[in-house]
Amino acid sequence: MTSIGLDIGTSTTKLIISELLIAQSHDQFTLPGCQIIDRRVTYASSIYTTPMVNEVEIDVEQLTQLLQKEYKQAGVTLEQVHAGAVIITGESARKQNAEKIVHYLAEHAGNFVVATAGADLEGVLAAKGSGAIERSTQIGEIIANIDVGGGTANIALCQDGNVIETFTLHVGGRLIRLDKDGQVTYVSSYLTEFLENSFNPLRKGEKASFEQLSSICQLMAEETVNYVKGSRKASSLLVSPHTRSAIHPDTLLVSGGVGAMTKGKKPETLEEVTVHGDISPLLAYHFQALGVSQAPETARATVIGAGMQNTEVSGSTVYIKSDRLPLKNIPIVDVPVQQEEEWEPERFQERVQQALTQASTLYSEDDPPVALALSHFPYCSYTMLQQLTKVILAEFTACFKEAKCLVVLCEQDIAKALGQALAKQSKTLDIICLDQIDFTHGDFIDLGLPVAGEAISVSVKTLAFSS
Amino acid sequence: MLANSKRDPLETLKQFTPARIGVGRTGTRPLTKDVLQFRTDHAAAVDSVYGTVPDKILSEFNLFSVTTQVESMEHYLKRPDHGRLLADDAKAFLQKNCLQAPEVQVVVSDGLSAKAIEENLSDVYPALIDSLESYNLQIGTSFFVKGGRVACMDEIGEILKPKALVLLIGERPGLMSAESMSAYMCYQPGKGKKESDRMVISNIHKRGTPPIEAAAHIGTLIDKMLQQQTSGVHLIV
Repeated sequence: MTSIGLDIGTSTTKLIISELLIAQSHDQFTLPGCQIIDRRVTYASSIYTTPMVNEVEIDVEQLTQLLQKEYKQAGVTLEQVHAGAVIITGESARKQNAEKIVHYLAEHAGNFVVATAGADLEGVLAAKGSGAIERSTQIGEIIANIDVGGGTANIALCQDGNVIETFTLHVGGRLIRLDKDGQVTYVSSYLTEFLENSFNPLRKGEKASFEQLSSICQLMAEETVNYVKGSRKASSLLVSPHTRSAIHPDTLLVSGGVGAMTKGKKPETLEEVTVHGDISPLLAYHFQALGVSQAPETARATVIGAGMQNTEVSGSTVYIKSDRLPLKNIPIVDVPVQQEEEWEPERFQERVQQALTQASTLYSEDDPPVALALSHFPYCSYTMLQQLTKVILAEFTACFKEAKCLVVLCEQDIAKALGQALAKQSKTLDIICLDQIDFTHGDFIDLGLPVAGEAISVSVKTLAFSS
Repeated sequence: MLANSKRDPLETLKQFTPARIGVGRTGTRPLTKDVLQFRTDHAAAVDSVYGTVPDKILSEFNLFSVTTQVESMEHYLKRPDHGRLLADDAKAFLQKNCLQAPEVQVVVSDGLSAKAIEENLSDVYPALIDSLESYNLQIGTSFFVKGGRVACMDEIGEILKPKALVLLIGERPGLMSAESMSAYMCYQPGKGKKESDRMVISNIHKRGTPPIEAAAHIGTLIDKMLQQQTSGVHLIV
């Protein structure tokens, strides 16, 4: 399966093409299984400056040309692309760009390529692409991956191959831009408070000294590292409010464009600092000075994560009675099945009712309107299955009277039994029931076509475009 | 890499298996608690071999009982071939009371673990019936075989001529699980069928293959068997 990844960031745009190898386990004695056994990058583009019409708007025409050129160079046609993701990050993830890009994708990137945005997912993808998640499976430590790009630093804490916490800071190489004489051409408004608090106000038009920049970068790096380590509980640089948990990472890795520079030598002069017209080299040096190691993959971490890791396959014993596939952008509504000690159908019913009623005010026009995601699934007996089915059908049909298609997701291997039970009790609805899907870090899901046996490809994603 | 790990690497490895690894020792012997656990598990395994399936469960699903040529558990263990043949009166009884030549025949047997049937039947059986019905298959008259071996499928096949047969049977208990059940499946079972014609989903219990999902999948396999008119290694899944 050919999968592409495209990362449209504040400052740079890059593309990778990868091959995903899917294997079906043909064990005679167990339920069939299906998984992606190999993910390999087959082509990586050079890193381009994101084409912009003005300060905030992406130049879609130029982007199209760029993508066509890259597809041609890689020898890939649109029809060959079966999966992948375009991640729109930082400043690019604005609403005025969103619609354009989504349209553009369908025409120029391939049918199954999904658009994603949102800082949490970005952090997760960067951690996957940088190798931090893989390393966390090899050593029993908690690893923090700090992906420092142009505008933001996306942090993901990883343990045993899972991301356990994410947050984002306004820390990036292009938040301060200046020419080679130290004349400041841009200071991000996100830094104002931070700079004032550190008695280091720096404004556009001023001339900055090497020492001044160095001290700002040091403070930014320290603030980041201390917050990531959990030794600081608050930061004025947080992108969105975040309560730092008590989890203390053992190892810190840095990836992203700034991460790529951490192995360079220390910049000594203003000229060396401003090779890219910003503070990236100096910021990189200060991360390095604080003992943060470079991740195995740096500048392309997010795009590799998007291209290779965003697509998963569902379980192999699933229930799909619908000819609607592929389906895109289905909102995920998460309902815990069993929060109490014991299974209580009434409590579950209350939760389903509450979640679906709320969702029905937002998504009642689409069909399927939502994907009901069942978390906290205990061992399920036949009796429980019957009760579960009854509750789901009753609440779903009450909330979405027009809907003809019901999508249910679960983590445990139970989808076929649940799907059959749902279909037995409802003759009118199309039922799609999938399992072995980790929906913890997403708000939306895309369902692809079957890739091996009954298993289908899925992408769980977020779509948080800022206004 | 593991050497640098903060967490005890043995604990990490233990999570992958319920097997008795890294239990420790005192002198040359295992610890008392492990010896006791081992004996408890062994006793549970023996109990499930010598146990009987409660009538209550069988009557819950309207399963009547027939026997094989086996007369006692000792006999069952010593003569596997007798567990493959039905008692003389059983043949006539089945002919009289069962639907002839159904699309799918479901049979339940205690096999080597009555406990497996006791624990799993109430989840697997109704889910299996639902699953078969969802494929619009005609289901024969289900019954229970006491003291059956897997290949009793062949003789039942000769008597009732089903297109496909599912046998839910208790597995040989191990020291990990004494309540594990298998589902054997065969297209047109009868004399001369080979092991390679049969298919199985094994290790069905709460901590193994999920019972209701296994049942749902059996339906899919049976449907495929009927479409392709074959089973075992010849079936394309």
